[in-house]
Amino acid sequence: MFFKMVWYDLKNGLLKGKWKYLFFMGLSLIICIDFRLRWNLIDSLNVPSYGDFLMYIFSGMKEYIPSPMTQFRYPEIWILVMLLTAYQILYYPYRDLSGMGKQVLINSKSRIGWWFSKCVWILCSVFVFFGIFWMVSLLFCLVTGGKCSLEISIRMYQYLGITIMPDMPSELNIQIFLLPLLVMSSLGLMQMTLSFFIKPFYSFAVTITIFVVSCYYMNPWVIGNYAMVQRSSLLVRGGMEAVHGICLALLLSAVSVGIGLLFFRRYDILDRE
Amino acid sequence: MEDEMMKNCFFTELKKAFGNKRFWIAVLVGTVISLLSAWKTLERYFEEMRFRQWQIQYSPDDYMNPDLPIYTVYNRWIGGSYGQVELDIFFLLIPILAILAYAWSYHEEKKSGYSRNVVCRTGRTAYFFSKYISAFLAGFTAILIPMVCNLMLISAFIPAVAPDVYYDIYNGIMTDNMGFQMFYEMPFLFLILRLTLDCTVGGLSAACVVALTFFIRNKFALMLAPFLALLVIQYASALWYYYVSEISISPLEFIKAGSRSSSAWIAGGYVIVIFLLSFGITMWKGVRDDVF
Amino acid sequence: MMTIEMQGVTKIIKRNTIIDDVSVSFSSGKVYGLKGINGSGKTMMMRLISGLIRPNKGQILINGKQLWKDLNFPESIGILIENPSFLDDYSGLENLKILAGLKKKIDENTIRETIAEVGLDPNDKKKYKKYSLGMKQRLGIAAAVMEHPEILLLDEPTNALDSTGIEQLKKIIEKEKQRGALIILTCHDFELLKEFCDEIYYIDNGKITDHSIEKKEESGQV
Repeated sequence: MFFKMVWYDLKNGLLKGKWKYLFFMGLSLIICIDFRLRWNLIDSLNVPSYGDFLMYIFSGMKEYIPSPMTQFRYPEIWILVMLLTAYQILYYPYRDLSGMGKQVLINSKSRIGWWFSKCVWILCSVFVFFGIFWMVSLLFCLVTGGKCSLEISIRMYQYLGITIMPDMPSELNIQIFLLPLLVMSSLGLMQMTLSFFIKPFYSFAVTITIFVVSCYYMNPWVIGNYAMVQRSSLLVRGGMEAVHGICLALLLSAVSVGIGLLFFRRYDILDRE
Repeated sequence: MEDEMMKNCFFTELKKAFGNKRFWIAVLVGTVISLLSAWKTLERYFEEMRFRQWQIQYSPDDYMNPDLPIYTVYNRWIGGSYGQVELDIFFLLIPILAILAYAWSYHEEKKSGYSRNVVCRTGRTAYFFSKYISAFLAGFTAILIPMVCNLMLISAFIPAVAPDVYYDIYNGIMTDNMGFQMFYEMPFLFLILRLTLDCTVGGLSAACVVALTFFIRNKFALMLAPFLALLVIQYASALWYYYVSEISISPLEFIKAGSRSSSAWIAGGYVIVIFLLSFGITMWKGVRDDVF
Repeated sequence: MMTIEMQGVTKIIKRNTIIDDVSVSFSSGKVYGLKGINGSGKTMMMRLISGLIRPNKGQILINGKQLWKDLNFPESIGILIENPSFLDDYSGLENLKILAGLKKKIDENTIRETIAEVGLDPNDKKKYKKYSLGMKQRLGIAAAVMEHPEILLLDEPTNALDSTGIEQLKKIIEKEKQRGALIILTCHDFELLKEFCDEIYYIDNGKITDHSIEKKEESGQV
């Protein structure tokens, strides 16, 4: 029954609505074109790698140190990618409960099953949306003659203003792939849980706040930091440790799922907006 | 008779707009953020003043210049300051708070069928005109109140010293920002205009939602559409800045201090175009479309 | 004397013909019924008469004035179409006061009397969102009749009403009819419809297929 519920959620919440996918693909393409044009100025002799493309999307920003000389600017691409993904996973679980999901819930006779099914939906959705960025970047890189490797070039580090250190890693697979995915998934679960307490609109405002605070404070307890590759401890002294990020994301996920489960078992399902 | 009904309809909508719970939630959230920002600013100000006093006490000859223009209302209030997380949260949330105030009302009334009850009594023109204006005013006010609260608190402690161009690094405005000259020559007028612009962006975000209700059925997509559009424009502005011209075209930039170069023409253009489009669509479709 | 004339009215929505070349006239002081199966076009006819939707062909005349040309809406009309709809965060009385405040034709006492007539408590401070279905329906009827309109359109007014509610509705309809209102209503219960109405139009697939005049004795019984 659980797998039927998961399939129902994937079919109704993910497979429907081609416009959102087209939009994400279009946005990824624009970001890739933008990067490719900039790359000509960064390094006209060499071609960028797939890793460079992904670094451009998920790099975020360096640590912000307030001073009269430096004005804060949040990273447009990173925040756009994160908030658009957060928006896409915002509405479906809450809306489903007011609609057909009620029937599914009653037929399944299991609130726990329903809840976990939605959690699985969140994880799959984040994977799909991030997957669009990964795939479009890969295809674009190949089509434009880029290197099909995850190696990040020194020029890319220089472009981002990262100090080159002797033991700098050439690949950052965990930071580029796993951590943003985990961070977004855990925030998605948190967002979904909050939606049942304070409605989706307000929980989205909380997500926005978390991302802005993450931009401002390079603090290991502010989860958004782990989704910014530039703040990794591998690239910056005192940066974010991947292990901490994974643990924090898992903790946030567990707490969100757990609280949500406890609450949902007693939740009155009324037709409310 | 029609004027009377228009007046009745308009005041009814205003009462609903300013009497509803969500408007006050928006005002409360905005005010909490703006007052947090003010508190942080004042904390830093008092610390700085204490330090200065100590410096002057122990070495008066070295610290003859009190450097008054570093801290002035004009560069420390929410619309003039920068480099604070509360400020960026506030300005990013402006469209969200403004929309929360009353922009959702037409969608709800259309969906429930309440709009039928009103339209039959007042006519389409009165209803849609009142709806648009009240959504705009509610959005405008939801931003105005927090900003004014911040301004009042800051000005209660920090003097309104005229900004000095020699201290330009402390002001969130450079030579390529709009109103640069006015900021130094007529700072109070600049403040009023900045306040008006920020609130107008809020009001127009809310008014856009009324117009978009004719096209978008999903309530969340509808309410978040202006915010998401602003994010996309923010990225587009970064591209524009890099490839075309070193001037910002993003409303999220020119509503706050510390932004990239901006132009009053672009800001004014946005206001006019968005107003004409949203108002035009609302009135045109409102008057022509079937009411179900 | 109020008259409504529909002349060759057709309404098409997304290539579906909902109302097909309907010509019919109504006059005040009578109760007209519209009878038809679900989806036959009854509610759409009411929407057309009320001016909420525009016909694709034909015209609708209210006392000789054409809707969508000389008039945007009938000048004096009360409607209850589909589900009653009000503002969730206000009580029943507050909701009706807001609506009455638009034209300012009646005072609070009249609103209170109307609320009591439909079987609700005018002093009830309960918010509309807490109302049961039957209470919502009663409030919807109250909103339609409170300003004593010349035209009264009631779509399934007996929905969710108990027997007391139906009796109260009968009294209200009779009272409005005596006042000279032009009343058009729909009802799935055919016996009730025959009780309420002086004339019944039968609709099928957007067309008027039949028309009957219900002979009533002086006492109002069929």
